[in-house]
Amino acid sequence: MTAGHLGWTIRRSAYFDSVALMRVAEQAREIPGVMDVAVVMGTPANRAMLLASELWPADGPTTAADDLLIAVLAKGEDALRLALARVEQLLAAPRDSSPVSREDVAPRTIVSARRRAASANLALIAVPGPYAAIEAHQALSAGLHVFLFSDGVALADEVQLKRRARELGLVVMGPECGTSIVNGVGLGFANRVRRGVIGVVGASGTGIQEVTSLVHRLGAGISHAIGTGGRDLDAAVGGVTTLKALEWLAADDDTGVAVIVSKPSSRDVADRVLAAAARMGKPAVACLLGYDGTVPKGIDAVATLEEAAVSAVRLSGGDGRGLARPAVIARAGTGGAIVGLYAGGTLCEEARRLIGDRGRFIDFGAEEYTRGRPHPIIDPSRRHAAVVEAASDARASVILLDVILGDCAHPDPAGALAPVLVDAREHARHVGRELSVVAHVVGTDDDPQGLGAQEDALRKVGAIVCASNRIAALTAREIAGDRHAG
Amino acid sequence: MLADVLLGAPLNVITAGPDLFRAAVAAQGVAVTPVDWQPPASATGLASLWCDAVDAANRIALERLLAAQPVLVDVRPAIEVVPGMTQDTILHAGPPITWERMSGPLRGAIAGALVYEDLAATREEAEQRAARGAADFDPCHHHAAVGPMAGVTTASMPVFVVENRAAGNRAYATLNEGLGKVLRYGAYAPEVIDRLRWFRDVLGPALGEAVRRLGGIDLRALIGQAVQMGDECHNRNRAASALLIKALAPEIAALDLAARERARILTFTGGNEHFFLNVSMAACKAALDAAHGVPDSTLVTTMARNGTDFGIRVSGLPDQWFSGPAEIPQGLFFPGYGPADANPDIGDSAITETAGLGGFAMGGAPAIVQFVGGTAAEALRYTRLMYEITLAENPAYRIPALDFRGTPTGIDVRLVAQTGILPQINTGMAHREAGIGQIGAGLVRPPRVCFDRALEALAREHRH
Repeated sequence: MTAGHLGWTIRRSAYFDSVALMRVAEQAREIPGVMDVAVVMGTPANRAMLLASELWPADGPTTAADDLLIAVLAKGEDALRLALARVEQLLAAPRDSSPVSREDVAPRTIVSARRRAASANLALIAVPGPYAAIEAHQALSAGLHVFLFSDGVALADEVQLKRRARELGLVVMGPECGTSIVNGVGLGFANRVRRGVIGVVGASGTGIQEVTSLVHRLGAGISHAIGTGGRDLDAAVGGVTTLKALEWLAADDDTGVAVIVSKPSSRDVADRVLAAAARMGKPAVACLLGYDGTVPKGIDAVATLEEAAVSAVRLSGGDGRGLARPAVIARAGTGGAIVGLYAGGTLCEEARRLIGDRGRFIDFGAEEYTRGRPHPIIDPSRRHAAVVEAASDARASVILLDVILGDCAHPDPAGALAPVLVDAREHARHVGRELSVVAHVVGTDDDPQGLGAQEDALRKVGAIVCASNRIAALTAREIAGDRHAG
Repeated sequence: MLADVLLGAPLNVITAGPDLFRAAVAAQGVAVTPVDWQPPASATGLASLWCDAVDAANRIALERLLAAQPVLVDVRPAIEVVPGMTQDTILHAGPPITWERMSGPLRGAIAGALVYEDLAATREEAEQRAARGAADFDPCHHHAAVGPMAGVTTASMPVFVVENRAAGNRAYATLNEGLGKVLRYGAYAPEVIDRLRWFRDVLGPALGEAVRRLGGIDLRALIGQAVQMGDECHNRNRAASALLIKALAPEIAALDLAARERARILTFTGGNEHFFLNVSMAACKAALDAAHGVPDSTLVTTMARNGTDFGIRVSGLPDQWFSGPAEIPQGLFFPGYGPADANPDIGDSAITETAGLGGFAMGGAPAIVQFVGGTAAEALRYTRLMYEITLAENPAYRIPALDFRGTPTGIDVRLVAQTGILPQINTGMAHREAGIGQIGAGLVRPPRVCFDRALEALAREHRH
């Protein structure tokens, strides 16, 4: 230690914790000009250590173990005085306590959350695709059923997840599961629907939303709706979740009628699912888009979501007269194209089948549009831009849209869309074209946005609002001049 | 399986993802626990390790860890009890290391140990002997042993013998020398050697006799009590040391020894606040060794440093170390020393954190958090954070300030990789040069790369 000014004091009979004293010494060392500070209890060992560090005078007084020694080595007298005063001040000062740090830390993993919520039974996972399998596997390890909203999960991962879940007696809804309604609770993009006896199993979120909200509109209700993810009926996956969901619905006392909505890519898997549905011992309706096999007896095979809802309501003993179509004036001979701009993939697919070559369709919920950005049900800006574009398209005569309500959806999708529609139609009128807008609002009056208010907002700006996606598609065809529509 | 009842059961949801999903569930009056989700710190291979085989293996490893019943049963010369010990063996802390890569304090301790064993007359001679390969270096951990700081253990040193009554395995650790100039911090002055010889000739045999007469000392109960008295049994051992001496004192007083020696024994052990540290370490080692070697398990069973490298071992890959460069602890220094003097992290004492004590039990030992200028509330926060990377709570070690919640126990490589939260270790600091000794104490973390490497190896192993 180089030469400096040494100052020291002794506090008799003052016990302090050694760690607290080291802390005080360190803070006092921060004063400019201070070379070293020692604040220690006066044990022989400590005194010897100070002597060795030249922090204690060789002729200093003897001290007892419960005396506090304060020694400062500084470059000048001022720094020395400041440091000694600082030590006294720090020894006297109560520590600040920060109330924020008293709070528990938030769970960082599903495992940790599970430990805190002992009766948790389901994990809702909506993390970016590359991490979705990690989280879903972790949830299974924690003994939870999984609602996997994330997309971008590899098929092999899906197969592994679902097989593992089956072994554990658990269910993985998804990946890319948009909607489920379990025990009356909507998960993901779900609508607030009446509880009732109709159970739904569906590969697509918007398909389930359309069927369940139409059931509600028709005065009936839903027991449960189980989303399976779009690839569940692929040969590789083998319908693991669909089959389990049918098993659940068969055993569920609240469910009287089952509806299956899917677009099976494997005929073989579809056959197995239909066979399982036929064995449920409950009336069942199947809307399998693109399926060309033989539907077993006792299952009502339908081609559209609306028909599925109507049939299920009828089978449950409700009013199955169906929904009314708006009266429209066909503009025969205009021959313009129908531009279908959809947020819901299954709704888009259904409209495409009903309209055929006359339509050009974009599904803004497809993975290529959602990668790295919110789903169009939440953030409609990308579709809004496409509406404006369609208005400048000389061949387009009808814009066909879905507007999706529900808990996770945009808080006012019709309100956000209305000014865009006004602009689009004005633009078309400017260049001497008549542009029609046909829309269907998926939702109920119990949804936060309110079905009636949303439909009114669209009607107010001249849109033709239809009660189902099927009716909307047929209406668009009619307006575009297809005499055979409907 | 009972898990199969979802329909009809009240829904209770955990969410991981954007808040709107949580809000939508909560708005429907359903119980929901959101995860503060962030992308995993290391994701490669992670999905494959959340599987039934690993879960089952971890349950077994964890059960063995928590069931451990460490009992101090004896004190014996290392050569008599430590497996694989020879006259030429020099055990050291941390993962394997060659003389060339050893840091100052480890070299100093080895030199001191060779002089102590009369294998060399001077430090210079000892270093020459060590450098030409005349000593067999091996990690303590390869011999059911642990040692604080340098961890140097040689044939004639007395060691605590701790038996895990649940599994029957034993673990060993040298006697704690106290603070100041001590071998474990790399000091080798004559007073250091003299003290070790007194350990060998008087203290060790006396403690062994006292412990045997007592029929052993239940360390699980003793540690449990000390944790409730403000110890974390790594960097704070005041209560545990006092409890140990309290148990031993009547037997020591009754030994057939000169009164002067009995007084010296009680003065030395009673005056050493860290006397229990080595016992705590052996207790933790005995518990963790029982959990080591369960195929597929991702449980961390060792964290140890040799002053150059920080190494961890996992239960499922028992023969491998996953190492990275040891870091310099953050903390407080004794008068006359500063960060420039500090050696990188050293010692097997992180075995305590591995077993759910030390930094993991900091919430019960708030005095320790002051090493980094923290408050009592922050001490609790350190402990709470460790629950995020552990699989269980140890029912034997409970923290009053957390409503007697068990300490976070059983570090899972998967959870460390997922959260990026690294184990919190309380530690002493050695001077980087041989011969000086302890210069402070503080907090340190393992380098993340240890866990990344372990994760990679586990995932690779799992694919086969």
